[in-house]
Amino acid sequence: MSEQKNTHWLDNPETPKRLWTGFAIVLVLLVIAELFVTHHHKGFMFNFGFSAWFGFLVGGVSIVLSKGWKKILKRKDIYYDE
Amino acid sequence: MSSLLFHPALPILIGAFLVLRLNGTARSILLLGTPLVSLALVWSIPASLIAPDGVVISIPYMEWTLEPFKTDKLSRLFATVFGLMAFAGNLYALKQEKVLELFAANIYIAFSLGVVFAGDLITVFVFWEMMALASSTIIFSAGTDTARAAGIRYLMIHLLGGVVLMAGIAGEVSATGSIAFTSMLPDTLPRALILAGFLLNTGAPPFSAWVPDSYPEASYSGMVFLSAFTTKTAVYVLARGFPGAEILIFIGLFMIFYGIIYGLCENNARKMLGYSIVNQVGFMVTAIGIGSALAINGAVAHAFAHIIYKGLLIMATGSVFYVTGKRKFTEYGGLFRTMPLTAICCIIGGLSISAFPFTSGFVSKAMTAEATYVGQYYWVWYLLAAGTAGVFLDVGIKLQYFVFFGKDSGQRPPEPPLHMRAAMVFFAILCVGIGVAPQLFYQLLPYAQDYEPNTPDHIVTQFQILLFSGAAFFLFLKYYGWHLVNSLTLDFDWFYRVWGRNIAVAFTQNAGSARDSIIDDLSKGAKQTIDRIYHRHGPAGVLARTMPTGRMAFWAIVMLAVYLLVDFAFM
Repeated sequence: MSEQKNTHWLDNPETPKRLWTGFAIVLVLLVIAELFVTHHHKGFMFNFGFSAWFGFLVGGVSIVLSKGWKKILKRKDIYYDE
Repeated sequence: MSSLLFHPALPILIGAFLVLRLNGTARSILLLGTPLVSLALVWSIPASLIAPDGVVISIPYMEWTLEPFKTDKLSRLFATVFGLMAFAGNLYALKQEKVLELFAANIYIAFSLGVVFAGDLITVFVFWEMMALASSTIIFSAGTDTARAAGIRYLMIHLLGGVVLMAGIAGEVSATGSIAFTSMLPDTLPRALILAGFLLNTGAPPFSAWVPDSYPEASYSGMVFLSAFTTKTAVYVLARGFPGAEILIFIGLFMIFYGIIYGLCENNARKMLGYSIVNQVGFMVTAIGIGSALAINGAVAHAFAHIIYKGLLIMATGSVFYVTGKRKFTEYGGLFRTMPLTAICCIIGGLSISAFPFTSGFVSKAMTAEATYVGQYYWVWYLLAAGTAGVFLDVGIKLQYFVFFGKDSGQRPPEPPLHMRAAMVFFAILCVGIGVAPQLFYQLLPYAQDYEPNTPDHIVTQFQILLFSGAAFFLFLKYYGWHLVNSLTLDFDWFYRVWGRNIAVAFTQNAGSARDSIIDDLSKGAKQTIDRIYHRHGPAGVLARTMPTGRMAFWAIVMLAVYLLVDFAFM
């Protein structure tokens, strides 16, 4: 049982590194792929690479905002039971 | 077909009562059979009655005509997905021991179908209120103290919404003399009240908190039913009643970002899915505010897809709750090892809600985005795109990561029972099927359209926006940590759970002392009066004493003299 646990791919210390590498390759390929497609609409939001940096920005801003919001309004989870 | 006997709600309503009497296999057959009969009835309505004014049955009532069974493509679409949800929900809850929950869930579904086929405002209102009672019974039936408290709060909020809706309907009927439920704008007070009553059930601000407050307190299966009907029936009535009401754009956008930010703060997985319901309904409300045919198609297609993928997500987290008894991210981690099927179904639901290409969420949300572009609501387009990326962080990554992967909690729970797995697989197949063959799905929509979501440019940019936002999430996780703790984030419900309660307590205490002092004063006054009367009239009182005859005669002569003087003076 413990042998099975140790061999699970999730427990392999190499797994996160491999996932990061694979993920980075996919991101680069996605940006390159945009060179080969034709946008059906015109506008700033359809400029090359917009979705990539906009997505990254939204991800970062969402996390910063939620951390800030939580800092202000965080209470113990038994707050309403006290 | 021209009879209420063929109303698609009827088999489910009858089934709900029979569930109380049956056990074992008979009950299982009934639970799975009635939604199928309902779906068959929905799809056997003749095409001629799916016309814009397809009234199947009308009943005279006072000076009006009730239309409890009116059909068009919009009502058929919602009835179809309600039927699918009833089937999958009953399959998931097949072994639920709390019969009260199964009864309440099925009458709740039947009442939702009642709203969907209602052609007049009175019928809408009656079924609307019955839905509130049935759904709160689902929460109560969980049987815990927290469920009872949450159920009472849920009921109070919905009864408030009902009062507002009733006031609006009464005003509208009094002003126009008509009870017809048709498209309108919130340009008069009664119509604004009707809109407010409808919006309360979508989880709109300021009362959004009722969704994450109450739904997670239901049982593992109860939340599956709750997630599908109240908010989506509200989307249905908004799509029918208020298409193009621009205020909905702002309300919807608020809901989108409210759901994301609170979802990211949340440590309770089921509560986070509650916030996510508000977020998703926000997309639909925004689309209804835009109001074009493509936007309405987008809103209702999204409602259809959302019922399925959110049902799937809640089934998956419900399964984890069912086998571990836990509901917080801090108590999970590494469950993929022994629950791979549940994890895969949850991931498919997560990809769908995030609008990953080739899933139902992608082909439905794409129409709303397209409608904002075509309608030149460019700022809305940007915010919707940001909202899509935000959803991916919440449900696409955070939920999956902290429950099934992340830090190993050491727990090795088994997969849930077969019927629960079957329900999840059924919905997972629908999520992917709709995404892969959208044109078949689009034929169900109320308006004809010529739109193809699966184009190379759309697929590439959608992958970019999602995966790059995911990259930002993991970078933050890696460098700043993501310290989940046992906490909650204050919301508007603080005003009625703490502030309002404090006012009520202060009122009770002050009113109590005021009442005591008034009673004190009154009793003192009464005692003094009684004492005075006793002093004069008591056995030793001045008026009770006997008097000599001479003194009586004297006073009689004095009085007669006064009388004579007065008589002479004034006559």
